[in-house]
Amino acid sequence: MSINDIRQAVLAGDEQGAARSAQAELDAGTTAQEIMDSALISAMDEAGAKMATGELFIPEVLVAADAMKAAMDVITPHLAVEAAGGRGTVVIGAVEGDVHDIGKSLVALMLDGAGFNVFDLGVDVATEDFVTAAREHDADIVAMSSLMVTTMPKMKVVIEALHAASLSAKPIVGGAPLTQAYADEIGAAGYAPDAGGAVRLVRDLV
Amino acid sequence: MGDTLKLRLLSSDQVSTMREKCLYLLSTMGMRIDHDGALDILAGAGADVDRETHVVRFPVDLIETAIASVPGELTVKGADASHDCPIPHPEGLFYSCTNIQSMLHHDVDSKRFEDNTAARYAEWCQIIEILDHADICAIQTPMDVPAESAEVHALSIQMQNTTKPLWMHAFSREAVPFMFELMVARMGSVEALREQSVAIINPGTVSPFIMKEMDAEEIIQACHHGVPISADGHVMSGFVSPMTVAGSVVQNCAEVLAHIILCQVVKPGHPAMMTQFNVPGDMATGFSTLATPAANVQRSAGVQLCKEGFGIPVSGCPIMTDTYVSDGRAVAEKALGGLMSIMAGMDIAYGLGRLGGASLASPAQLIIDNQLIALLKEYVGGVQVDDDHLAVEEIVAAGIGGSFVHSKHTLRHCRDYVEPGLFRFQLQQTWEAEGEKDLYERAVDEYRRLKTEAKPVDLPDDVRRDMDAVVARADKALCP
Repeated sequence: MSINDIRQAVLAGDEQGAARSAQAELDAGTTAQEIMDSALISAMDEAGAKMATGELFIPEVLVAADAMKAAMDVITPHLAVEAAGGRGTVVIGAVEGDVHDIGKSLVALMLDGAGFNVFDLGVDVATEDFVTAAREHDADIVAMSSLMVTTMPKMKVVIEALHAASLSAKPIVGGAPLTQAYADEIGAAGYAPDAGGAVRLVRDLV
Repeated sequence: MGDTLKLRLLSSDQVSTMREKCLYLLSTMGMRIDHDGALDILAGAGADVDRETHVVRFPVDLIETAIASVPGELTVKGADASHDCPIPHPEGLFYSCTNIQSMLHHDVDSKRFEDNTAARYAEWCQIIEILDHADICAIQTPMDVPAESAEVHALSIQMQNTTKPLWMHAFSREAVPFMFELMVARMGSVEALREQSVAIINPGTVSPFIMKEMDAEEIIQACHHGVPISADGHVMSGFVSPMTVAGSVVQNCAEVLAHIILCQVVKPGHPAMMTQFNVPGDMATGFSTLATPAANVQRSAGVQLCKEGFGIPVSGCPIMTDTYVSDGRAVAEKALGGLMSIMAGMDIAYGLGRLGGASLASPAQLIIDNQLIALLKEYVGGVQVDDDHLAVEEIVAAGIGGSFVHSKHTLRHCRDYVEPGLFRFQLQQTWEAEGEKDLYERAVDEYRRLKTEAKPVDLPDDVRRDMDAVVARADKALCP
């Protein structure tokens, strides 16, 4: 067994193989931190890169994330508490008035798979619920989606509310009618046009 | 279109099985409907309503009664009755509809996508008014009006710039009453609107199986005002519906039927259509694909299920492309998709002027698509076989080695076929002399020419004033 076996099992979406290889590697004396950094996060980074080029499809990336989580279950008891917390915390939701779920849920799944702690507030999320969740979970990122021109202005309201509450969470936005220019105009910390881009954006910001 | 031209992707047994599955899903799993009034109405009609979850399960008898009460014929009407679209099309053809909700507009001068604006949308509607093959004008999203009331502004722009039927839906629950008020203001009274209904309303599901408050309200208001509906499902296979064609088609039709049931319970016999948006998800990016073979097969199978399984007229969106430029791919995708769905029996084909992505409007593509619709009508027009068209006497009269070019029969029929316009045949020398222009360049030329003819609808001052007053009230009520 080797670090590479764990990576390959994750990329193949082989949950049992990933868990088995992770246990064997622990037994061989490799630290949990080394397994997380060199095998699991590395594998998910590769999966994300392959998705960006169209080599991997979304369902294949999601089963890779499942395999990564199976391996994480094995190594987590051996990790330092702070390291087990993942890469950062993201609160995500569709803004008030908007009930479109697909893109937002996909971004949440992809972020979860990439190792972030994700709190998905769902759709039609009130501004105060974004603020409360960001405070409760000490979020690094507040991700908002909107699929309608009529609900886009709510994103600015949330951003202003986060500032008013003196929270440090960085607001990011996405959705079909959104553009980088609009994100800049409302003071968002970032914008991504698709789920893969959202993961890359969050990695850059956290 | 002759019966011989019908495209059938499904056998009769498959249609029957899929119909049964639609009813199974609606009667056992049901639909969440986020509208208290609609829940009351459906409960009163015998539906099993869970007030806590808002889930409605529809007894099979109720579904069958609703299906049976949908008229097989309807007329989608414009402000000017000469633009009315009786369905089925009297010549066995179909109608076209332009693209919906576009926030970006491809500028022919800058060659860039720029914000759609009230002025651009007004010009767009004016051009639709004079295009021969653009039958229905869909609502778009001007970006220089208040976002919260954008659809009210857009509807006002539509009605001030075209008298053709309008394809309409709201973007928020709160805007719905203002949109109907606006239609009443345009026509003068509720009774006048009921007589000449101006628009067709397009409520749509949030898949899987959620009917938003906004859409339920649209249906109720449409029934009250006598405006037909075309209910949409928004399945996206692999993400919010099964990856497989049959599964997505069944889910889509079941979701659409839930809207139809509400409509028929509110007002039995109200004119209603089933819409097949029905797209596959792209597993590489998470976005929907609009013009892939899978999209067109899914849509066309859906058309057949609606027509043969439920006997309800169908609209859909086959004039689609996934490219961002008016290139060969755009024309190929739109032609293939259009031909397939229309041959499957689609009554209204949507997508004129649309490029790929979320919803990009291109006036040059609108001109190309207008021509494409003319060609598609020619393709599905069928073949007349009677004495005059068989022309045996003409053949005999011309004789062996003879000519037909100077005969009265040829003169009588020489304009039977569509003027190919942008797709016309040219001698190579002529084409070179005219600047060796490609299809897009010729479309831009035609667009510039049409701009000089385009003009707003000549509305009486009091009508315009009443419409402006509705928009002002909407701004006041909807904008913070």
